[in-house]
Amino acid sequence: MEIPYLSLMILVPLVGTIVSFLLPRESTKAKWVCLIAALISLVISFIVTFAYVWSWPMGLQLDPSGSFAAYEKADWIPTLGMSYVLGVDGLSLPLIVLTHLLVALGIVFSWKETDRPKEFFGLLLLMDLSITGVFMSLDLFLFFIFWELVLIPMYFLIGIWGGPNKHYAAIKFLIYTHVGSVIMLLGIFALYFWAGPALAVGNTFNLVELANAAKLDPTYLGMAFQAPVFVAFFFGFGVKMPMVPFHTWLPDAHVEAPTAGSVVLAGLLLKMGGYGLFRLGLTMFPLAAREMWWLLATFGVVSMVYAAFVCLAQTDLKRLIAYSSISHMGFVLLGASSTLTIGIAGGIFQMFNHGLITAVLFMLAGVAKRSCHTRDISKLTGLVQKMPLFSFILMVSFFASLGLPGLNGFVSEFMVFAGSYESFGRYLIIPLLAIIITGAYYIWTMHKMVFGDFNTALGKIRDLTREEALPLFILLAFIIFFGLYPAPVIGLIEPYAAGLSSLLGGLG
Amino acid sequence: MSYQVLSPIIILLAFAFAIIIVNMFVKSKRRYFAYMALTGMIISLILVVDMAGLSFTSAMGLDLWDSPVNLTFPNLKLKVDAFSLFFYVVFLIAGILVTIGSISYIEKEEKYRAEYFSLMLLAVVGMMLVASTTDLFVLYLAFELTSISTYALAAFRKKDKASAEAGLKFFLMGAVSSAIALFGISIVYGVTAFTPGGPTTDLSQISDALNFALQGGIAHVQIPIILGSILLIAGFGFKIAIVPFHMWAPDVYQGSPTTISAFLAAGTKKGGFAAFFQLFLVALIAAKFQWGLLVGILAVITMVVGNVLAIVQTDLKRMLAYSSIAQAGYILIAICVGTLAFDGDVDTAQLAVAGGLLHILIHVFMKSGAFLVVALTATAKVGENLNDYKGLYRRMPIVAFCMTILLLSLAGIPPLGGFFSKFVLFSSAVNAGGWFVWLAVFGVLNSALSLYYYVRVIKYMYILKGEDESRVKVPTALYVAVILATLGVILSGLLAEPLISFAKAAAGGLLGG
Repeated sequence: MEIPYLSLMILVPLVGTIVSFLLPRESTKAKWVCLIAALISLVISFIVTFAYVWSWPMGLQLDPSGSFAAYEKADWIPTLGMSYVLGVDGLSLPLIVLTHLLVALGIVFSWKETDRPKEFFGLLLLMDLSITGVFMSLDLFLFFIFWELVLIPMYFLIGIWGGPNKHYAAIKFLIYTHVGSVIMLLGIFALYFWAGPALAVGNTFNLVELANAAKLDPTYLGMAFQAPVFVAFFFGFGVKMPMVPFHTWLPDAHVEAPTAGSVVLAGLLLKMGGYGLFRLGLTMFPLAAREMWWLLATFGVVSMVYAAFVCLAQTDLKRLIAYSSISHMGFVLLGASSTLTIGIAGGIFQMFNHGLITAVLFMLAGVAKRSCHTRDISKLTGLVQKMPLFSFILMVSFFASLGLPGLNGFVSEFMVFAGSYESFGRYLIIPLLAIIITGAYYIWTMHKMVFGDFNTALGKIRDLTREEALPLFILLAFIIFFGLYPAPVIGLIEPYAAGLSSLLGGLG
Repeated sequence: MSYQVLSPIIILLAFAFAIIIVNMFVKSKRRYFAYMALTGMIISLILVVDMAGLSFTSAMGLDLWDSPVNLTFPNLKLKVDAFSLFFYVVFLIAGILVTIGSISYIEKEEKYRAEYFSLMLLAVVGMMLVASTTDLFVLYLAFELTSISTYALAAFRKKDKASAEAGLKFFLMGAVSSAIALFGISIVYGVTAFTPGGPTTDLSQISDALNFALQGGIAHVQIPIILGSILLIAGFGFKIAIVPFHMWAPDVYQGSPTTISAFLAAGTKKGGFAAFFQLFLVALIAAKFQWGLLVGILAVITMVVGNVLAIVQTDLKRMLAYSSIAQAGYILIAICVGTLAFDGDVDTAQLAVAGGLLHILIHVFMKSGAFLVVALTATAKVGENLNDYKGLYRRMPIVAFCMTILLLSLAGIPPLGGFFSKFVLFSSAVNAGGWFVWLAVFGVLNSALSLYYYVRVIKYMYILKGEDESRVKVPTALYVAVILATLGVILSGLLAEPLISFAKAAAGGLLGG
């Protein structure tokens, strides 16, 4: 019997969202509803992953061409070539697992939320639905619907539960990323009207058909078509990712967003940009991606180095983490520009790792705000004396983020650098500069926060509570596990990266 | 001749006169007139949908009419085809939503209620005739029927200074624009007099005549054709409020009774578009080099000006009026790209016109819904200013939710109806290539810009805290109308397939005939 697991991963959060919105005002059951829905989705995503890796007979619907782990298709608007196509493979599976995991843990972390709780948890679950939808859609039209749907719950999460400057941050987030999306929409039109007929698949939004055809004829329509359309997509993804200089919405959004919102924003929303780059940008425009690797590399390196320098000047813990996110997402671009299997796989793995690490970091910033009522690094000093667990997790996650061997961040950054050595040669010293600065700002911050003299003005502060400790330790376990034994995830990603690399490399 | 295909129009006319006649004998304080008008329009809508082949008789295989109906009545200068049926649906939905809303909005006005509903029916009849005529002069007359009915409706609350001012302003502007349009018609008619077919007012014959004239049949014909086109654009541009002929719209929409604002924005404006489609894509299509670029430029200016000015409004009716102007700019894209039919690229043109028609239909739901929300909050004594909407989510949660859906759809956020129609519209411009791509670029950038002021309303409703957070009793009929409009927006997104097919058939009817 075939079970539509992928549709279930959309349906379960949808039902959960609707139920939690329909609960009576100030009901406290919403968090249970949403947590259960998120956990069910998480279990489904694990089932799909394991069934794919170990070929369990779980009744996955397979696609005829065999390039997807699971694949579901139905007609939707055949008049205009739109269909409902979902599929997962090595690129999307780690991100889907990550999505459900972070949303579930974000709900646990916000367990004590009392301001409009049912809307808060309902919107978090709606984020889960729409982000999963982005990672699974294989129809450009469906993809765009989910892509845009993400904006609405995030806008409300920042706008309602945000900090003092939330109105500005929420609208800035919305307009910036929406502009990026509509530019991308023009690119989608171009694919539909020009690429489809040129590739002899007709006017279609079906990404699988388009991608398979592009694989056979990677230089279709030449640079005159591929370059501008690739740039349109690249802009849409770059704003989301975000890359310098289109990043300014991110620090504002992060500083104002509630903790669970920040976790989802940095952990998952930014990954949509990277995911789109691989799934659409590199796959659909092999020639442009190959010829314009310098574009990706430049933006990647500038993001890495610039954002790292900016980090040095931050006084707000959350803003520091936000800028470090920009810096770390630069690795994804750099990995993509390498066009080698190890570099591409490193870029994808970096997205997964960054999701785990940054979730921990934002939760820690949330704990600091809850417990000490400030995120000012100069006031948060010597916390090890009063908050030993907090300090321990802070140290490990900082080390993971700055790329200490043995923790997961190191593995993916190493892969990215290894992949880009061939094209960069000794100029690799420039992106490597980012590593040094990253180390500097993290160690400097850690030195102050953990080991400095205790700031007595903080008064009585508490360590982690149970609902804070649980998600943090779960994430920490993943960080350490994948640092020591990254093979499962890399094994999942590698076939996809190899396919993409041979497509790009085949041109050179 | 099967004249029964004209029954939707005849039924509306019958009900319009019946209301007046009943009013002479019954001085009822009840809502009979609203229900009569509603009955007439619902019967008419059922017939229209059935004729379009989307309803029960074709499903039952009765074959009352070929579906979709395609009949011409040369002596009546009328035709009924997929294009006119599509617009019938548009006008009737606008009329029905506004009439339902009026049941609670017009309650206190005891006087002239019969006239209110009768005039509304007549306005709908006028627009339906615009969409189905084959003759330039009948088109003008039909449009005047609508215009004169709506002048009176705008000034319906004659004791209210704002309403009287709105009516007067609307009338003066409307009369001037009608005169300009008539001048344009006479010039076009004059040009046709020198062609072999002789003087004609038939839309498709005008097209042939102009084609002949422009192919060199008549010397020095460029100037009169350009002049005629400009006058027609100006005359009908007033009716659909494209920049720079838009000044009246915000004032009139603000001053009129809000249900009438909804009717003007959602209904009669679409009548103007029906006229625009008929005029420019049938009669004047041969002269597309004379007016195509001008309409394109006006489309872009209209979008930009509408959206930019909407940002600074704090009165919701004015904001919606400017947003309505911007939406007209989007729909004009369909007219520009539709001209490709003349070059033989019928597929692209058909897609563009289908996108424009779809946007017109969905805009009816969105705009009438949004105006009716404003009417609702005004009736419920909440107010119609942005500041009055603070914390609305606590006071009337379902209305606030509906308004959110309507506004997001106006901004073109998927998966709502507004996104689908914009998607088809803009995609056709990209497909057309050349300078049309710029129309799409401006279109999507304007959509992004418009999100700002739509979301601002949502911010006021959900994020800001109001001083008064008590629940408000909602007037039932308006509530029903708002919920119907919201359902329309959601369903037109989910069930886009039959709608797109219908719109494509309608576009084919226009371009083929």
